[in-house]
Amino acid sequence: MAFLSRLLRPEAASPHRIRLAGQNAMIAGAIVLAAAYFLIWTVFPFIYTFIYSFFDWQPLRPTQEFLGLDNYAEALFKDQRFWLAMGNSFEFAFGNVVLGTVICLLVAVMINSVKRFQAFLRASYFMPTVTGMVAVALVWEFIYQPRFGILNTSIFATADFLNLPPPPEIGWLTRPQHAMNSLILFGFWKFLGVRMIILLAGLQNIPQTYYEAAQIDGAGARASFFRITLPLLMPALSFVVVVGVINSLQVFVPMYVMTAGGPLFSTTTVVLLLYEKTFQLFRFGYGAAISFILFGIIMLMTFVQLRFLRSSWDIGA
Amino acid sequence: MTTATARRIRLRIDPGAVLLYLLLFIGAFAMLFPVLWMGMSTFKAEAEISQYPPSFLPKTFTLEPLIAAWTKIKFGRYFMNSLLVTGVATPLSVLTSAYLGFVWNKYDFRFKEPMFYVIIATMMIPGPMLLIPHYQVVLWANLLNTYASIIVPAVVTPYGIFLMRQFMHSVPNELLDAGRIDGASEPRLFVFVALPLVPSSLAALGIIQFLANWDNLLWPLVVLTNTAKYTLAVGLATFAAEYERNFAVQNAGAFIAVFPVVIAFLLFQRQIIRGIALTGLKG
Repeated sequence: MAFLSRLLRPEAASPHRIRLAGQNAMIAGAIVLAAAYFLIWTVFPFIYTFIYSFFDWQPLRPTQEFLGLDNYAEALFKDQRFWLAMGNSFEFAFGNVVLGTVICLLVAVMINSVKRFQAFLRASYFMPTVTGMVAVALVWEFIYQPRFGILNTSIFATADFLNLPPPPEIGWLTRPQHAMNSLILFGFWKFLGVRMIILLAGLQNIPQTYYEAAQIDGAGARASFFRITLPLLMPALSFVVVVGVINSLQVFVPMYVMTAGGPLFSTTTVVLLLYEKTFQLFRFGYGAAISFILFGIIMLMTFVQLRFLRSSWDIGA
Repeated sequence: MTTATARRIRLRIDPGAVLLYLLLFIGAFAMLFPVLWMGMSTFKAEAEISQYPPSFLPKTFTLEPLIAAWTKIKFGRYFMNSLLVTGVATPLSVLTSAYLGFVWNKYDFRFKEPMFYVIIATMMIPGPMLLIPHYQVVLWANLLNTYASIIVPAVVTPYGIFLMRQFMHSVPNELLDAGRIDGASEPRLFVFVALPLVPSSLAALGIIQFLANWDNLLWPLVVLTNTAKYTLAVGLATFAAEYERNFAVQNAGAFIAVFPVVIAFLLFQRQIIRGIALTGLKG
């Protein structure tokens, strides 16, 4: 309690604020609540995972064997599946972030420039965001189904209509060369809305006077876009990219539901591998090592992006 | 005149504007199509779903897949479980977020900023990484296979604290001081002065948390092994993974999961969109 009461003393930097009687209780309550949650649910688990990533940790055994760095070595140097999964995660993240951000930027700029139906268009593009991931993953699986999925049957019907020879059934999710791309398309559809709303808010924060000044100076639409819109949108844009990379490297549900990592391992991401090793093979220690490597990579990616995008965070932020 | 208004005036005559609207509406249709298709397929018989050529509207309207999903595969039960878990966790998490956000915005105390940065930093830890120790904590607390194991961890969220701290800026300190002069206690100020001033923020956070809880798969999948406790997301995922495929029933199950959320979205779409836009930028 002594520690808590020390915490409750006002900051030296703001002596002008008077602490009233009831405030200590409010602050103490908040700190206790936050500390309880974060110590039990974040700090402890974080340390726990880190320690057990050095053990051959299997929950059903009475004693756990210390392995040193063996789990990490196995993932990095022996387990080929780990690198395949890492490659798949990056393939998804790259497709999802690049395709997602570029097309999303176009859509946001287009919606921002129209006068009528803006609310309807915004709501339509946002709609997939509010649908449950598992449910819509199943719906897309149904759409991708080779024989009677609407995607292929539309192709068949179009070919029929044009009197073309019947096209082959495309295994959107069942051919290794298509499966990841189909998942990227699904991710694009699912995540477009959030990104678009953030970019739209960013676009609407750009003062109109800048465009007026540019127009007086004789700038055309293209110059206005590249010299005003794009630089001033960078805080929003870099937020979308950084968060997009963090989230898409952790993607799990679409693969779990639609492909279960197949065909031929082509859609197994690191998180799916981690889930399999941990909760199906019960190799908790190895799973912990994989998750720490993933954490390190995500931190590194975030750090590099923030360094790279730092100047753009500061402008107008 | 701004370029935006200049563009708007040109719309009337510019063929480019027609193309713009055309592209936007085709895009909007593509975005809406999967959900519409799911809705239409829900009321089709099993045979019609796989027929060629495909039909958009159901030729013969049937409730069979919906009834089958609701009863045979216990989707009704899963739905109620989801409703219970989401219905308890969401208001609680909004309340704790508002409380912690209020304290972190309106009071001064030692290590206020560092503690806040720690809270923000926890948002960067990938969720799946802590799955194993979370499981261990729940095991120690003897809460495996309980609703509490899903609800309790969702009651405090760093995201919500961050969001509400930003929104509490809009509560004027002068108003709180006026309340203090009138002798109101601090909890009273929080409940009767601060909260009524930020209703749309509370609604936005509520919706965001509702969606997160409703959509949560990985964690319930790990802690729930008793099928009677399954949430809709877990029920749907395991149904799709284990059983002989019946697309009609599966689709009807997806419809049950998506329908209430889409209705909620249509009712609150302004708050949702604003809430999400604000979290993105005011960091």
